[in-house]
Amino acid sequence: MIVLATSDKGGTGRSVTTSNLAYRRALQGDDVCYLDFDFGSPTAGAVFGIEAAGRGVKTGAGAHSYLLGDVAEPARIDIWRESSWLKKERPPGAGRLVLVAGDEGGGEFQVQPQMIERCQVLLARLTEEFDVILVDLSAGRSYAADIVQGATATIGAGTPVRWLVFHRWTRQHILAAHGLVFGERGIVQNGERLGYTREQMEDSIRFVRTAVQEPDSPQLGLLRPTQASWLHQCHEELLKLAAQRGLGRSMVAGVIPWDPVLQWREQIIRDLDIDSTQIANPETGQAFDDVALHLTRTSH
Amino acid sequence: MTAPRHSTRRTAPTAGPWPVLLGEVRTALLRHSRAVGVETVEELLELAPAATVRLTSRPLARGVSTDVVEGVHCRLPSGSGRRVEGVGTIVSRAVVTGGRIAQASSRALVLPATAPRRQNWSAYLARQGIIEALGPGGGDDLAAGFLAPHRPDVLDLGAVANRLLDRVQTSLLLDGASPLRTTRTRLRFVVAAAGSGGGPSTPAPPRFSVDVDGVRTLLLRADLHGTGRELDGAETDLATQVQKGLDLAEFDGGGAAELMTLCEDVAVHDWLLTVLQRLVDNLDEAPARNGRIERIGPAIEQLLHLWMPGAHAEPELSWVWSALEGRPGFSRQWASIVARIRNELDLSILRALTADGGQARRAGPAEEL
Ligand SMILES: Nc1ncnc2c1ncn2[C@@H]1O[C@H](COP(=O)(O)OP(=O)(O)OP(=O)(O)O)[C@@H](O)[C@H]1O
Ligand SMILES: [Mg+2]
Repeated sequence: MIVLATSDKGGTGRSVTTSNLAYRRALQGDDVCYLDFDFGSPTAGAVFGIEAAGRGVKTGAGAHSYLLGDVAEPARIDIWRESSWLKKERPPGAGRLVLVAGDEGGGEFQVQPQMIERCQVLLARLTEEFDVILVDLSAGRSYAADIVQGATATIGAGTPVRWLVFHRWTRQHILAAHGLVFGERGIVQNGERLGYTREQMEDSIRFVRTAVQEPDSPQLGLLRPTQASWLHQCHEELLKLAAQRGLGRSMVAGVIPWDPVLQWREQIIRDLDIDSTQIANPETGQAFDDVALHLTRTSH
Repeated sequence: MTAPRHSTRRTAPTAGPWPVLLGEVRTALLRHSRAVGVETVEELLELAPAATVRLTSRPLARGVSTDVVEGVHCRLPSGSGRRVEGVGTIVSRAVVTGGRIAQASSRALVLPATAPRRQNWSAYLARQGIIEALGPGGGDDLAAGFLAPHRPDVLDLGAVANRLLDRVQTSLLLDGASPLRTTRTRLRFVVAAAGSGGGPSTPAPPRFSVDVDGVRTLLLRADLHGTGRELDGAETDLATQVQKGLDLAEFDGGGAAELMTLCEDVAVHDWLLTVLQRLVDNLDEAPARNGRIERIGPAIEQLLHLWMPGAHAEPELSWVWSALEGRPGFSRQWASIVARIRNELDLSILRALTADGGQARRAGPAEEL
């Protein structure tokens, strides 16, 4: 399965959430690859705690260089072994967890037909090896996104392709995510141009709400009653808006609660951060686990 | 373009026997939900319009594409870091075994140059799969360089093979729904001309090894002139013929195709071992125990019957398989894996039966009502 992670706006929590999903999915036993196609800001290395790839690799052998044809194969990093957050080895029962990082100073580029071909070859190779390939696309409409969507169109019907669209829980973010998916030259229209039906496209797209503070969450317990009721009202309005714009419950893959750890640092939340040091909230770990587990659910 | 003999002598190396056959095989599970039939294999391997695909059905279905020939002019590997240019062609082909395992292999037989300067391309193209080495250094130095970690500006047979495998794997004929996740394996091989030291030599056993990066290496010494059969000391091999002034321009690289088939066969079996061993190793790991048993299912159904070492090897080369069965002992490891899978299946059936038994007993009286 190929999972394309995108968002309309920057800074929605796409990279951090996708990294945590990759980590959780590997712990659940699948072989997982994280492919960093956010050429403008390839941050996955930092989130996974890999020093040498903090803002992409410096070796000139990242995903960006591969698409440009500079290297025959992009470098791979074994996250279990290289991450400074983790224990330098694959936990028993877990699958492989591999990062194909971006290049430091990569940036955007014009699409050329060879790039789509190269991307297709790379994805085909990765699907031989990995159960789940998570691709972090940059925010908004990008060349990288066009390349990947083009490449996945001919990857073979047996390799499911899904989209996860990340957005924060605000009015502007809901409208923006709606536009990215359903708007003019959006993901659905692009898919239709590539030969998918509208139903197939809608079936393959799900939304993830990030850093959400539900009005009843314990963190909001200290609010004044007027604030609390205002918040409730806002939340209700957002739910209504989301439903109107095609982002309603049936289209949601998960809701990731706001978490203090992620507020202060982009990182993987391990069970020990929840159970031993208790710096992260158990609900956050649970939400990541649920979304990771349901990635392969065929119909929602 | 027969080169004068003295020039052959002049460029012939002082150390290490020529020629040397270099190659790399990449092996993968075909990106398809199940084994594909002969027609599909034929279509998959038809790399050029109307190119012939060789198909065998016994003892195991196997399809081999025509040779894809590619001209190269690049630096050759060198163990001592010497600058040696190579000009000539490499030959690649794609193979599908049992409708299930896809391979691509590339090879080149390297000889010292027959003329001191570069010739016309037509001269090189006429001799497919042969690269002429322009520069100092012997066959040993070349082999040592090839087996060392790859350097970016040097002949890369692996990359050529990988691209050909990509072509097969991204074919629109495939549904992309492989039932298991497997890693492509890389097998590099070096066949050196046997018995150059003069005097009667005992045949050196083939050496098979796996390095830290997972690259497999197969080292062989065999007669590279003609059939690739095992040499005993009495036979005159090419290297001594070279020393006697054999005209290298007439050397056609016969026997390389048979050796290629052998290496592809070794690669298939090494790949099978790698895939099954990993599945079996994972059985012991908590917590996904039940899921893992299910994951073995496709391997049992689709891969176990493909074990047939030496099935496609030429009789002249059967000694290589005999030696490999002794060390590292491919079939011994396979037998232990298969035994482990049997045990695991027996256990899971037993577990299912006892669980069912309980339910059947409970359901029993209700049915009588
Ligand atoms: N659940 C959360 N709770 C609190 N903070 C979060 C949460 N998820 C993400 N963040 C924070 O939001 C910020 C942006 O996250 P991230 O870098 O993942 O966004 P992005 O969408 O990938 O951004 P860009 O478009 O720049 O690539 C980070 O500081 C991150 O730690
Ligand atoms: Mg990001």
